[in-house]
Amino acid sequence: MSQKPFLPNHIPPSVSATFELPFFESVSAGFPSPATDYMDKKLDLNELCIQNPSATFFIRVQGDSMLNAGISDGDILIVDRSLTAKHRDVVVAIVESEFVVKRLFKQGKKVLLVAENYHYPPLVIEDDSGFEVWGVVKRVIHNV
Amino acid sequence: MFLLVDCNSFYASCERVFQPRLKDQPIVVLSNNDGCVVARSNEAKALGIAMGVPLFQIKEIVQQNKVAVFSSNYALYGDMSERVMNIMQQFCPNIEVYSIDEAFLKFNFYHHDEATIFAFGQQLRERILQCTGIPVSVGIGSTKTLAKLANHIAKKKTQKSTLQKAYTEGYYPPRFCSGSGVFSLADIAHHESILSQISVGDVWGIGRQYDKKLQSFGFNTVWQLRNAPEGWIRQQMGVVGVRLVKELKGFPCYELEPPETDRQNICVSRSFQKDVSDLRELKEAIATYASRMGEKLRHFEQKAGIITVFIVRNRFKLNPQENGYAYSTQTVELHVPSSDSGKLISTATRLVEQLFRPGLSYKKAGIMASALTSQQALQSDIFGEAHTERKREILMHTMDAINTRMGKNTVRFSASGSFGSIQGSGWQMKAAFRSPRFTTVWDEILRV
Repeated sequence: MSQKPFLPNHIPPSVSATFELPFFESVSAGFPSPATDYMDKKLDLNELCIQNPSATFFIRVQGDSMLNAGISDGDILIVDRSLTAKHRDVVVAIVESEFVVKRLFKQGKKVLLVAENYHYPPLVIEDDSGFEVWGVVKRVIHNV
Repeated sequence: MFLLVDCNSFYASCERVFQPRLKDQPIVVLSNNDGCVVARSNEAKALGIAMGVPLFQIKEIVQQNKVAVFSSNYALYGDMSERVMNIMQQFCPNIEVYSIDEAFLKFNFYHHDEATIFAFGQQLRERILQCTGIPVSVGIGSTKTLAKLANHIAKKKTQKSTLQKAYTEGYYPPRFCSGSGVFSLADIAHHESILSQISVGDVWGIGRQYDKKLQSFGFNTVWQLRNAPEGWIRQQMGVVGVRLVKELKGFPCYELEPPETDRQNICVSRSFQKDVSDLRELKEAIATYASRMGEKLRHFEQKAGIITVFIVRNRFKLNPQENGYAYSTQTVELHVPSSDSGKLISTATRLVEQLFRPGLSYKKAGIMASALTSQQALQSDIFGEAHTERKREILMHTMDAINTRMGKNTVRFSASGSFGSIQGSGWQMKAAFRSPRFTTVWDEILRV
């Protein structure tokens, strides 16, 4: 029996929080608009940023420990729980019942959670019991 | 094959996803208005906290055992429920959402071997857990009743030992022993050894009354009930009982129910925090429910042809001399089916005025929409209301858009009460221990 015969590879976005704005399909002048045939749907940020809505959560960042990864205080992270965390992914993890945002380093059985700011030392995970990856950070919403 | 997927201690699990410190802590969730316990984590159950007890009665247990107490956070539970249901739908489009935390799936397996079916249940469970953080139990059987029973077995840790016989026979995958949360009754050949170890009271639809009755006739196990003579069952439990026994034997009598969009009516009702005896407050309450009803109707693209309003008096304050009913109701047919909050509010408040009796106190009110038609199938009437209706639709659409974006009740009808009166009113919900709405309000999202 193959390992995962039922899992869909790509899960289409099924929920999308958009509301439609009306198009101006006709113009009252004699000509039909030459653009009518080229009308397309509006660009949707959800489509760009969210692959799996059922597994996507938003988290607000507190602190500057991930500054060099482009994540600043007050930014909003788009976190996808459907992904399995890989080596070098930025993850939201639980360490001793506290949430952290760090870059994940895996070497064999060794796990390191590294901040992207030299003021903060890396966390070495010796014991798996209090450690869990909560989700993988896919994108950052940052005010310029 | 039917699968019943049921979230484990759903409300408590939702709280845990966003608050890892609650991992092994007992949790209770309170009803509307923080009245009594409506949900418990396993740890809280182990402390002997019963379903439905008022908070003040368990104050000591709560303090001594550091029980985490929460008000119902319906925004969070509703959103998490939707996520879980969506994931299930990706696995299997034939789904009946049975309640906020359980759903039946109907699945045609090409290979009816237990291992394939079991593996499917496990993958579904793992996927939901990974994507949402919510643990679920999966029960599998050839009928809804068997799936529900299998789910019950999957959930009950205590029954692991009593079912040891089935595992030691080498039949069930060993993963079940370590609490995999999946149990299958797909193979009828093994029913005797399993069902003869489960008591009749654990069967879906057998209440305490029937449980007692069946036990008194010597039917103690599900296996005994399954083999009861049909005539006797019909005589004792009627046609529902006959169906139940058929389902236990593996003959489906119940199919998946259609989704809410195809339902015959929609209802919004609440119990009040304290009794309401003022008509103005009662009207505010019913206006709020009517407005919520409008949102629901528009969400499902339905219009209501008939509106029913009901108010319920406090049973304990009923005067035995007056032969009044606790429950009074009034129904009206609309000229043109509508999903317009304004129209629903004016209709509902008019009905409540007719129902209200001064000097009496009410503990609950609600509004029900029936004779639903789809948004498109709108026939015109001689008064030309249909045209106005279309204009109003745009207004409603805009209101919904603003409320979706800016938060519930940002824009609302003044009939549902002003900000000043909203705080002190008896009908408004109390929620002193509510956790943040982590997934539905920007200002309340998780901070890390």
